[in-house]
Amino acid sequence: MPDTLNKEQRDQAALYALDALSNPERKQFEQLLESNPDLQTEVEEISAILTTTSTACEVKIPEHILAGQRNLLRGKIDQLEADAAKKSSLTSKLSDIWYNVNERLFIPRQPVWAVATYVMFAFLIGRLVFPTVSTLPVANIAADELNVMQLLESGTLSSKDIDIYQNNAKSVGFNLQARNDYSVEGDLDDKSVRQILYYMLKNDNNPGKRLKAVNLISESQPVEEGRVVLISSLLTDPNPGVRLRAAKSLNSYKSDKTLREACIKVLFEDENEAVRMAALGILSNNPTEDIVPALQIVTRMDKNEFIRDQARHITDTFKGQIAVERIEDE
Amino acid sequence: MKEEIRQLIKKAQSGDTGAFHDLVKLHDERVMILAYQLTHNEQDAEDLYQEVFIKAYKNIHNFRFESQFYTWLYRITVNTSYNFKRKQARLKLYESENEDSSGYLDWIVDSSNNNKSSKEIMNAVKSAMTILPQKQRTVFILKHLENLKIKDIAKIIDISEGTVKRYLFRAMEKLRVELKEYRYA
Repeated sequence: MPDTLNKEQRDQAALYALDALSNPERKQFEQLLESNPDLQTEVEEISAILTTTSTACEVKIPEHILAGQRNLLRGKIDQLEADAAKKSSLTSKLSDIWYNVNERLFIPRQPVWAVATYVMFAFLIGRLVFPTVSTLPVANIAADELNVMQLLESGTLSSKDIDIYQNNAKSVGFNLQARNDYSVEGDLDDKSVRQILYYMLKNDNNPGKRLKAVNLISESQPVEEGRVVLISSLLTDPNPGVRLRAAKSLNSYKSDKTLREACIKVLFEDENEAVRMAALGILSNNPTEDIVPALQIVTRMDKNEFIRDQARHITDTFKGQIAVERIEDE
Repeated sequence: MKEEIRQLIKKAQSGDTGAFHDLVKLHDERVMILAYQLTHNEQDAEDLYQEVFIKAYKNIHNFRFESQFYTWLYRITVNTSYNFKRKQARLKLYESENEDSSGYLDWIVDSSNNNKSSKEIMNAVKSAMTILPQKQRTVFILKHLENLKIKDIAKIIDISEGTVKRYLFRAMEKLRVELKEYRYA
């Protein structure tokens, strides 16, 4: 750095080299530059450093990375749109309800309605101040004797009021915590027990309970209804642990087109590598020709090397049976 | 602004998601490169990419055609990157533990054929860039690596043009010291 230059000249030199001077400033600086060798040296040094930085920072994003990010973004935006649609439908429903309540109760137009309104308010306040004892039966009950599903569906009971416990390998129980405590017990293969487990897997907000439910479902006999619930959890559960367990449970079910398509969707969209590996595991149990094009995409796009290798291994088993190149061209 | 882009923006503003994805495809490479230059980490760049375009999708109705669409995206990218400070702190720790930051090198174009090894120069440049204060680094990247005009940079970072210039020569002063031995590499 030449010592003869003042700070302003050095700053101007830096801006000149960075092409950050305005036209008049640049012309003025160039006039000065012609007559000042020290300034020329300064500009040369700065330019050399700029060349080094731009060479070292030159970036090329691989096309497959961009393609993967676009797919991921597409999924997120679809989800946002779905959420927005759900929200707007709920908002309109709520506003309809509010409108009806407002019309019929809070602005009664006839004396008879006014009386009915006040009686109803009094009743509601009474219910809040003096809660009634629950009508649920007390003590231990067999699952079949108490229709828990009916209570859940009617809103009398919520899944957060239920705790699951396991007596032994086959027997499962539920503690129902309403105003009194109850417990319902039954065999894992009882339809009513399974239905409660499906309900909890699909509806409970607590991921720990959903995990417990999916574990118990995987221990029960594989039935079609359970398969549908597990596929749904694999695709939609927000907790990766639950999705992973659902995928592992689905290993014991017969593979069909729905399951294969669900697994492919997971391979393309699930951010969790373990879940994607489990989905690939299901596909590898009984690989069919129709999954090859999707797996070829996985062999190129998946971030995980192991998954890419496994997918390649499956597609290799079909080499000779189908023209892989044709699929790539398509 | 090209007419094609203008039309796509209008369609996206009226709720056409397909048009928005077309806009993404036209601009995402530049956004990803900027994200990478700002974060120096592939994973952070990918996270930033997603966040930028989700924000763009949610706010596209606010775009008023007063600037280029990409400068609007750059503004979102820069502002969002400032929320990645925590991750950058983790990156610094990682760098100090593992100089062979191979993840960083994956997207770098290795065009060096000089006597110093390209990896050494890249590491030196990276290290020099990371010591720059955040805004100086951002201004330097936008000017020198993205070739933006001073007035566009001023709009993106929301500072005056004079401040942009001040940041530039301060950044240059520091880089000269840090990269002295690599200047003719």
